[in-house]
Amino acid sequence: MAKHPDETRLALYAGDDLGWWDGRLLARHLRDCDACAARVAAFRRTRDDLALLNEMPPEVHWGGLSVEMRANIRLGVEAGQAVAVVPARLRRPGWKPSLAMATVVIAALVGWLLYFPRPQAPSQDPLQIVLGATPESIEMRQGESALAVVHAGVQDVRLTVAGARAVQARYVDAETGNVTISHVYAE
Amino acid sequence: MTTAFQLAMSHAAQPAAGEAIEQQNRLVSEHLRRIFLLIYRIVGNVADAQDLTQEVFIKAIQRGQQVRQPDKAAHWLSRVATNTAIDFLRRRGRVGFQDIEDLAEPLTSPISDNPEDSLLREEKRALLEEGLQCLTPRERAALLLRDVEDLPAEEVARQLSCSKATVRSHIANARIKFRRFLAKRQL
Repeated sequence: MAKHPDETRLALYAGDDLGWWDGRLLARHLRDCDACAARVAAFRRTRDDLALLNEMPPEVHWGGLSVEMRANIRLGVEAGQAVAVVPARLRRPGWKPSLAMATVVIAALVGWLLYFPRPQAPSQDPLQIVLGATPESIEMRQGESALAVVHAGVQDVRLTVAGARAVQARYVDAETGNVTISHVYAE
Repeated sequence: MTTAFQLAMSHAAQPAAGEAIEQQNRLVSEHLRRIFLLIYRIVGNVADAQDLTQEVFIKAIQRGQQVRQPDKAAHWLSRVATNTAIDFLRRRGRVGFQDIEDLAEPLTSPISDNPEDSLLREEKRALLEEGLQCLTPRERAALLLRDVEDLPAEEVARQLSCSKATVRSHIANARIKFRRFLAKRQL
């Protein structure tokens, strides 16, 4: 006798869920194998018994329960319809809220620009007077012109800057001991 | 609840809403019992089955397109009912299936000893319900849809959103477990 088919195939065969070719092979085996045929018959009896599950269980009082469920379903549908109105409106806002929002955004942007002005580059005004110092002089420039107080050859010069309008050079002559103080003021 | 039902009836008097409500009532009337039983067999208790059944019909009515055609409505409702029930069990963590070997021996004598036919059927039905608890939710749903609802395996696969091979596996496993359960309890 051929090898017995596994239980999965028998279970599927009992409910006509085995493929056509497999079904034919199994049917041939069942003709010669009482044990497998009995197992298939048992699966079929169980399948037939399952029809009982279509009956309402006795603990369910279907009359009252069905009326209650119908009412609850109706109530649920109506509640859903009432709730569904709000999202429909929210999905399409009118032009007024959009305009108000745009106005607020523009106002905030303008305010920010006014409150935080962009840093300005140093003025390139050619007439502006600029005070400066080099290792050999303190000087005042205006455009192409310059006035310099020279202290060439002197070491240990102390420079003092007073704001943007004055610069001072102070040094001691090594030979004479004289103290020289030069001021340049810009007015 | 009765008030809500009467409210629905009064709405039916309005010509525009009347047709839709009549269609909804027809849908509920035709499928309520079947869908309730399907969910009840999966979740295993009346209160949860009632809530879930109501939820399924409310969804169905709110998405009117799918349930406009009667033949599609039946399949669509079964699919939603099955998935709703399985999701419910998953959310609740109440996947209550037992190993067959762990089941207690029946306290009552075998079914054949009972003289009353109705009582015998009731005992058998209770046994089948108990057997369903040995299955995983997906096996249970596959078995109910295939062997109780008598849907083709392809349709069961669609309803459970899985391949036909997977459904065949679920069905075979379910039949084998069920058969073993019954064999253990009836011997």
